[in-house]
Amino acid sequence: MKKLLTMLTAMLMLISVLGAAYAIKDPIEFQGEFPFSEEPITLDVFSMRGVYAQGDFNELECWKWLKDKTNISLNFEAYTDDIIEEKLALKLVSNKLPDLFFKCAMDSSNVLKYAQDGAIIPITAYLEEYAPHFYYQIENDPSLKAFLTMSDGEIYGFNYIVSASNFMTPPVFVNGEWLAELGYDEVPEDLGELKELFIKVRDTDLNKNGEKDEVPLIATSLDNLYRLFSGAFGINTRGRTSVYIDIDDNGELRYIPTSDGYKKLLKYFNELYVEGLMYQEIFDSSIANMTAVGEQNRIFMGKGSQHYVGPTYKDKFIGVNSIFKGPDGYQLNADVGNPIFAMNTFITPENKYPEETVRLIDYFYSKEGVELMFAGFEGVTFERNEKGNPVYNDYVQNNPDGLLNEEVLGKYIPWGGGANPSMAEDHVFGENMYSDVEKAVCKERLKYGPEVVWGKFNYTDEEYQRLSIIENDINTYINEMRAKFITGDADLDADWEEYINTLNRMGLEELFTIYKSGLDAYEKAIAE
Amino acid sequence: MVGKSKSDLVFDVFVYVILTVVLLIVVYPLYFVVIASISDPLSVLAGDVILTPKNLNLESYKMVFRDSSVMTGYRNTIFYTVVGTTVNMVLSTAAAYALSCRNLKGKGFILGMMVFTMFFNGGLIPTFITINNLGLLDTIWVMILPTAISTYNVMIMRTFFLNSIPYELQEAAIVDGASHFNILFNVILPLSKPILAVMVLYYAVWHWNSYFSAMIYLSDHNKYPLQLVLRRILIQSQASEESLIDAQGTFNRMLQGETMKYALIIVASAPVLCMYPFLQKYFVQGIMVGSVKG
Repeated sequence: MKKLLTMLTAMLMLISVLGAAYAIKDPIEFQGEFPFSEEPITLDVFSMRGVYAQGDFNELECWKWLKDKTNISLNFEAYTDDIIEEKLALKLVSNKLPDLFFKCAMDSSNVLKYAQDGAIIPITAYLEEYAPHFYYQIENDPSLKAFLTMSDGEIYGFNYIVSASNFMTPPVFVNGEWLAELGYDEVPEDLGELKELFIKVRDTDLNKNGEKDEVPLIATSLDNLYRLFSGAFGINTRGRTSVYIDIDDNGELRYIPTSDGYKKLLKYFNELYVEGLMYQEIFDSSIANMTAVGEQNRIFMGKGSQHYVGPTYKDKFIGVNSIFKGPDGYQLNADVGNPIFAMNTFITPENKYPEETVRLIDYFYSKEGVELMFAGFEGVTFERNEKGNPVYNDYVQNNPDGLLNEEVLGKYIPWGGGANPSMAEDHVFGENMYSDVEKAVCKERLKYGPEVVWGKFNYTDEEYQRLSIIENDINTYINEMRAKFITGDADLDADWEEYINTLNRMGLEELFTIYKSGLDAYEKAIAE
Repeated sequence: MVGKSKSDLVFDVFVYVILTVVLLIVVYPLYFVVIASISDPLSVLAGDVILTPKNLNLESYKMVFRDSSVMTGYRNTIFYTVVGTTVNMVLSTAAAYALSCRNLKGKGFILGMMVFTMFFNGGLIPTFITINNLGLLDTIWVMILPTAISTYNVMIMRTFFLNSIPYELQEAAIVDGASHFNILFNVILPLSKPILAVMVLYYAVWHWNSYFSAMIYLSDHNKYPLQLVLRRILIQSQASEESLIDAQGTFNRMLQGETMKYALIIVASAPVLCMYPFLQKYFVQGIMVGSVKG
């Protein structure tokens, strides 16, 4: 009976998910024709070069191919992401604007600022005619349109869309051998039973090294663990991208860090932490920390990529499909991200060929363009599998020079890490970047995601200014207090009121009003 | 040990024990850098590398030198250090000598102007625009000319010339008919070896470690100094939260970075470490031995 009910709920959820949440579509096939410009033209481009880009950024095979096809050659000034910010700022003050900013991810507040300074131009008027592939996504996903449209009603840039389903919700995994040894078929959904399991892990020498040093629960950061459990306490009902606000049971906008569910979650975390059921260095954990513990064969359950536990014991881990259920009966995978990432490619007023430029960038949102951006060239860097999807070939996967996959690709394509005016979606990215275990568990967990996953809201200029003053202080304080409540340095019952009062003194009310107007604008933009 | 009382012995033992502990505290991190750089990254992460290297491999050094920008960076840094230090030394010595002359007119004003720059400067953006207008942007000279003199170092040299070399020596030379060049090259400089050594060390280490002006003023990767290349490699090996997009790549890079950073420390600091022993003798050498009698 219980199973039937779960299945029914799952199906209902699945239907609503398909109905509303992920309106980002698979990229459409290239429509349009080469060349994009009758006369050969050259554009000066200021670009971020990804971590893995190899050699001279001007010499990538991708640019040569595009030049032959489109008649547009690109002349790059490219910097790695460690210095791109300084270089970008100097570029803007020295009044020597390029024709195009490429791969330079910017917050919407910065986009608005540069737009007002006249450093970038609106592309709204060009999209329908010259950017059919990008426009297709905008048409189909009102939330994308809401994100791209600044408070002055214009669209200024191309953004990165990360819609690979494995990325939307991160994998959770458990040591399958240990789980069986403790007599469980699967990880329990109920948080109380889960805690009992963790206690058994703590008190049993599962790795048989003579010490009780097993870590029941670990992640690369506290935020990651928080997001794994927040759904069980009925908070973060609009997904992980909207960290501090969501909609409560009554359909009202709610500020999460002062909510009842948040307090209960901290209480649970406090128990886990104090009783040694959670990684004790969680507050400054990292991938390296997780690998260190993993290589000592001490991890029971973890969140993040399976790669992070290190190669030695990686294969012992299986996916966790259970969606945790809190004391008040909430059961939701709140850890679902919005696929809409920051804008990263902009045209400047110096550009004499905006139509051609828009067509060129838009190519990366077509199916062929996505393959070019992430997989390179058929026969050179990839071959097609039975589904017709590109898969990196042997030269990439087992490179004779011992290079990583991404480093091999770095000679051919501009992706190389970082943001792109393109789509990291399932048929290329999802196919190549994740293990089968991860693919399966993510697919399963994604079914229990929120109905609506919010992206980032846009605000007006004055609101951004107020936000930059208030938000940072409040968030720092919240993180500080969260750590204290979890370690027990602050008492959840005694100090909670003081915590709320301090937040109010710091301007929580104004912050909430700004969030509210951000939401109103977002909903209005979606409705249009 | 003959003739030592028991309490002396206890005292000696005590001193040796403390010194040994201090020595270990200082030396161990250096030693760890060396053994970690030649160990397997997974062993380093798991904390197995404590006293001896584990799963010996030179992979991290291979990776450092496989990155062609490390070798160009090396070449550039050596160039910037050698040429830069030479320019620094010539100009600083000339300035310090002139300012130490007792009969230089307007000395107070010049000194005042120089000291002024130690406390006030134009700020990053105006400096950038000036460098841009001078046409130095993205040339190798931007690493050498804007920093041709360090006021602080000139002050140190001037004070040394004034206070540590008796004016009577210069007077004697003037009586013998020496020009300023004679005095500088035949009297002052031979007596100033210690301060020259210190200055060379200051300037050279400064050039060797500098990356900020390169970061701001250089665009061409082939002109980047070693430090900027190392900075990039280090920063990029630190994985960020968003990197779950490409978890395998991120993981591999983190793993590479784990031992590569130690290899990089060795690669980057070995030349400077080698310089110290050669300059060290000047620090301890007596200076004025026998030049002036009573």
